Amino acid sequence: MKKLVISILFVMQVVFAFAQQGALVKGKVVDSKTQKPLQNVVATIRNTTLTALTNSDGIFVFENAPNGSHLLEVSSSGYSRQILSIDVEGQPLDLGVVVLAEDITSEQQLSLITITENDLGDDNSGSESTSGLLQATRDAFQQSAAFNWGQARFRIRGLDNEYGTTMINGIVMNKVYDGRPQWSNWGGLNDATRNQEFTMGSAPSDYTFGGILGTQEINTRASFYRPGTRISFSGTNTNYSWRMMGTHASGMNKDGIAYVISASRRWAQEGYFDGTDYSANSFFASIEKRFNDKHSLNFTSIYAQNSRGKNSPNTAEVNKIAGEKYNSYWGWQDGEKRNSRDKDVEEPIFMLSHYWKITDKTNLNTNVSYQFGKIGNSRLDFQNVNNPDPTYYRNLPSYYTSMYDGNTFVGDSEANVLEASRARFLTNRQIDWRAMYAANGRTAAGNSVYALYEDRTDDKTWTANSILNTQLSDNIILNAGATYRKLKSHNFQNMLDLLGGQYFNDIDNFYTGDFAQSDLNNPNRQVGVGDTYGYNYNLLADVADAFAQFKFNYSTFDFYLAQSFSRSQYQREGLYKNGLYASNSFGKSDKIIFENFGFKGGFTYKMTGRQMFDVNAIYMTKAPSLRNTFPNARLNNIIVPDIDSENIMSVDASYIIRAPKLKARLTGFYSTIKNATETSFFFAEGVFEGDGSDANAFVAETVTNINKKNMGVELGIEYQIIPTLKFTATGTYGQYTYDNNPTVSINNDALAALVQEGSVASVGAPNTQVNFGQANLKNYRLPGMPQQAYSVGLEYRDPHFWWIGANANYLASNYLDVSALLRTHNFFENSADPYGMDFPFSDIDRENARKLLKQEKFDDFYLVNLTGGKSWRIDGKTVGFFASINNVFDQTYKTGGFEQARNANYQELNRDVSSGTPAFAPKYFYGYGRTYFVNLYINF
Amino acid sequence: MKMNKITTLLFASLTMGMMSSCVNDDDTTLPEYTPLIFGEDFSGAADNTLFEKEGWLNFAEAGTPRWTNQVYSGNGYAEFTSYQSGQTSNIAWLITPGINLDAQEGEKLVFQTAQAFVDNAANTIEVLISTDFDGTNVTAATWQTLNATFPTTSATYYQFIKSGVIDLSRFTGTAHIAFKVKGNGTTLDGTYQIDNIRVYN
Repeated sequence: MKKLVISILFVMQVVFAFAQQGALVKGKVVDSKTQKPLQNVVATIRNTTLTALTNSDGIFVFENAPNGSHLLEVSSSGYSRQILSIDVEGQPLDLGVVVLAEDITSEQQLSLITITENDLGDDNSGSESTSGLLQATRDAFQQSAAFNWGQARFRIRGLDNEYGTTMINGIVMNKVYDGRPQWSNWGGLNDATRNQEFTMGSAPSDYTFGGILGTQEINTRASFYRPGTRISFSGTNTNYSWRMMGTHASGMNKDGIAYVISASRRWAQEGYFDGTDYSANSFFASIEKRFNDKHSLNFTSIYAQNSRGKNSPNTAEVNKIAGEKYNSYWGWQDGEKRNSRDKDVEEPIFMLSHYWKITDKTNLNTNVSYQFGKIGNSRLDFQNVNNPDPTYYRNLPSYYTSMYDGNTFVGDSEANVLEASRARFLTNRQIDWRAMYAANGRTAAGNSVYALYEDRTDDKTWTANSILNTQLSDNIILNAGATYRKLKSHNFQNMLDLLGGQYFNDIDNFYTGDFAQSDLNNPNRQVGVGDTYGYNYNLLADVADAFAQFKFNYSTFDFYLAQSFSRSQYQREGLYKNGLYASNSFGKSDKIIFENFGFKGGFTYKMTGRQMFDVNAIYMTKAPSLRNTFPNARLNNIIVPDIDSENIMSVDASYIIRAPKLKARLTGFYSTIKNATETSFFFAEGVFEGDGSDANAFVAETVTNINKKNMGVELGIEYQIIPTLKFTATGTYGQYTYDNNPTVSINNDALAALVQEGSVASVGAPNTQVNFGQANLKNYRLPGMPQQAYSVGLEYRDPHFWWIGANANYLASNYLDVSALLRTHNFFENSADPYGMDFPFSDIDRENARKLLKQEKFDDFYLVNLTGGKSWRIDGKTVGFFASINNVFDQTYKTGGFEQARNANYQELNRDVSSGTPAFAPKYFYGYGRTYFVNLYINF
Repeated sequence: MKMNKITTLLFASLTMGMMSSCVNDDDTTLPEYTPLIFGEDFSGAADNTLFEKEGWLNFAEAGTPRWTNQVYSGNGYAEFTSYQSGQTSNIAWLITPGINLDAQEGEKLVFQTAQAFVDNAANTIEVLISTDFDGTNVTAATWQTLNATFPTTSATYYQFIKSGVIDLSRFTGTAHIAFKVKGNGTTLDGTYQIDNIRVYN
């Protein structure tokens, strides 16, 4: 018994079979702990289209396996995968008993989701870790990336999630809007989404052409779930406190029906950061009907509803006063912490899948999917009153201590030092809901001057696809697919709460007359709760794509070639006739079409049975996302001038060792992304209006023609010292930089009013894009992720079903997001110069300027993580627990941050910084301190 | 075997490619701008103090009052007045540090002046240039008057007006620019103010 347990710890087992004729391959799969047969385990002969499921006796059979050497993969969710090397030589081959052991990483996956869902701050923050993508990986390096570095916002190869492809049943879940998957659409359904396949970089996937980051395919076919029931209960102190989850899979019955249901609830009154409440309910159901050997239908429905309070990025000054857990978004109301920035996601998915086994060697999978629902991000609106943000710059001590009177520094004057010592923030750190109710109660007309609204996105997406998988000859496999996606995205401002007032005036109070109207077709509206106001438009997208991929497999040499074509058509449809843009806001915009293609290929050279050399190369173009195409989508139909597709190139090469005790991979990668476009939106003051203005203007910044270069090396080593003790060492050294000087423009809505008043000349629709020329970003680092990461770990796995692991991680080279605007010629131009000749400032010290524009590098840090678990067999049930402690030594570290674009020139920035207490310093996000995750589960 | 060579070659070229494109944190460049050849905003000094600044010369050729720093509404400027000097002649020079006119072509000068209580055209301000001034001996140098627009006696008090663009391209070498006010303690006792001097091309 003990010997058996130990032997299964080697993932790769070699079975030799000497045979003369026939090609039947069969085996029996049992649980390592109970020795009982396992039903619905998936057995796959790699590099063929052959797949078999085990029956209730745990037996799988391949009737007609091709002759030759193959790798047979045996896997089932919740169990460690087994890979067996088989030689088929004509005779029936009985592999005997294949033992599957419980997979401990699947327990780790449960704790992982707490990171991926916590996408930072506002929608415009691209800083999201790629760990969600990596959940199902088996590679030592990628496991480090997911489980150990994910909490520090590590991103594989420095790439944003939009360069990866996340699929459910082959349906791409990356949103057309921003190209990123919305993890919370299936959050909390870990058990039900555990059947995953993962590919890295541009390596081939059977389901899609993919990008340069990798692909993740989640399979929800009901018959692929191992029958059984699992109930778990977890406690943690991350973004939620508690989680309950239950899942039941029926297995295929004699009528050919299989079903899976799963439900979970996660909640927290207050998560790790102050005032971050959390509530999520998720439901999953999948049912399959097998009609005959050839046809199966599966219907999947996923409903994940998630509501959480966000936490604010803060300046160093604010964190120093109020601590790293400080969150400016909440305030007390009736004894409860009320967060003004909630994110609500509710986007159910329905998917009908048809599986057609046309011949033994050809499968066709066709899916139709419909997803609808809403995403809402709430925030406070206000008209002609003080900004309710407790960290508003005038509330902070630095406002006084960085003050200039004209050209003279007065921050150290007695009066200012006194004012600073009694700055409002020192005593009023949170949102004052009561004061807002009171202000609304005082207005003569009964209108609200403060109100809570949400930026809503209501998407309706139809997707249809077909994926063909066929074995053309003994050595050649063809994968091909076609997908059509149609999106209607309704975006609008939705009134949530009038905070005691009777109505809210739907006007833009920075302007007067027609210019102030958000909808000239329906002017001077008084809006109530549930009313749409401010902006209102649809984004329409039609995306069609197709790919074909040939894989050639030979004994020492495998290679593949793939190509893709896609066509994306975008259009905006304004539902409001905005007062500033009367001629180009209402109705449909021009259609813009992007046609894109991609080619990729690669080979694996098997030097020996244990050493491989693997190379992948890709060139592709990629349509800009919908979001980056319309720079001022909230107000008008303008399309980014000369917008074009991104050109993407990537090469990677790996040396791989797969010996019984040692598994290692060394990879070098180099990729370039050219001609990218990025739009960002932020509320800012003084970008155009000048100082002293209380204008809380909505600013849209568009940066075009961005080139990025990501290169580096990755190393992963896994060494089984003794059967129970495993050592891992992983690391990456990356360099992710801007590789050119892109062009910056900013939208200035105020210009629209000036143009139409006649003070600025213009023909046709007002051009409000102000071009700031090139930004000197070349060689600045891509922000928001550690560019270096190293990890060493030990894992002890006792034959008596308990295990413990520890790892130490070092993360370095994470940089602040730099403002492109600050690095344009505008920085040195003295806009206050009386001569109006764009003179630079007279007192520029170049060394000082370099210091001011130097990119902030965050401190390096160590993270030590501990994990452990044990399981028992009681009355035929498996009971177990998993526990982890992350960041054991409670290190405080920054995960990201950005420069405030308020001080857009040398003189202002120099003054602000040299005061020693800058009022517009960068804002930072912090990682979690010490956190724990405990999970208790029962399987039966 | 051949494959192994290709493998090695690929790895080597990848490594080389990376080594050659490594960047340091300081490998960034500043946004481009054409710096002023000379610029002075008179900011940062305390109100109503004697004007003293590295490289400048504040010189009274006749009488004792000299140029002072003044700050009004946060804006600093240089000011000269002979009001209540009690002297029959006041001549005050404010001379810039040396400006290199050989490093570029087409130099131009602009500045702003304002007046208050100047009620006699003989209470003058002039702008002059010298290319042989040694930095100390003002009267020994050759000074040429430059054509500029100054506030007249009827100008609004304290309102800065622009000098107009003054062409300096015909001068070479190291030039000093001087602002010279003539007045006295009785009839010619107005106030002149200078700000925002720029030499550019």
